[in-house]
Amino acid sequence: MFRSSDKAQKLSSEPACIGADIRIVGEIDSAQEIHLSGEVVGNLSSPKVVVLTEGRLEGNITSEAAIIAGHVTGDITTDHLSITSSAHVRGTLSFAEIEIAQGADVAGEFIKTDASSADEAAETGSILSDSSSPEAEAGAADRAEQAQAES
Amino acid sequence: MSSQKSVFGTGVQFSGTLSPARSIEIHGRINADITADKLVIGPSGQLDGKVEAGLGVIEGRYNGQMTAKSVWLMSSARLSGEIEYSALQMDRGAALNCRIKHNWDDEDTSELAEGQGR
Repeated sequence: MFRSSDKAQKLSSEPACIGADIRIVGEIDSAQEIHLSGEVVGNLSSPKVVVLTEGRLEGNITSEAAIIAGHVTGDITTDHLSITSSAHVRGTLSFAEIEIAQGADVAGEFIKTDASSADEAAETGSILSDSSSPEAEAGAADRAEQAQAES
Repeated sequence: MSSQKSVFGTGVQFSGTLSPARSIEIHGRINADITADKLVIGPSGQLDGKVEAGLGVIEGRYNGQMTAKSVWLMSSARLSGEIEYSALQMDRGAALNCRIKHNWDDEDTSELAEGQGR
């Protein structure tokens, strides 16, 4: 139960929680963070998007921060992107900062942007990558602790 | 640790379709048809769409056609559309601008109630 967890309470009074038993088709635009443990077909727009282990998303994410532990097929545009070991991600990732845990299943186009202009995507070159991308490993170690503390 | 409850917070806007779910709580603005065991529309919530629910608790605004076994309208509720219910509870202050229909078929006491009505 995410609502009653300390984490949810601390970060926002009313996060949008998509429960594990629900499937949603449509666009969700939220001023609070979105916790996804169900299935969504459509785009998510929120300051922070958390796709939990059992969460599935078919659509794009536009956010300031995103934590992916579940399945995502679609483009992710965010400043801070964190992908955990249980994640399956396919799509174009635009980010200022990225962290990918070992074991994560990630493939697609990687686009590095400036923190402020995460939505202005096509800037720098891209690499096709899996979880062993050098870029992924570079910043991952020092930010891992940070993310751990957050979660 | 998976949640069986879906919550649409205050700042959420959504329009689309939702699969049947156990429990849905709405504090934002939602435009969707909903089938759930329990539906709560919070004070700041606004729902447009057809609802089929076991229990519907309404504190906010609702517009549409609702069929629920049990309907509880809080004092801040604002309703328009149509409500079909088996049991209804309403707090002082709730505002209804809608058609209200009792679901005779669901009630064991239908004959009794009809008999008393005449």
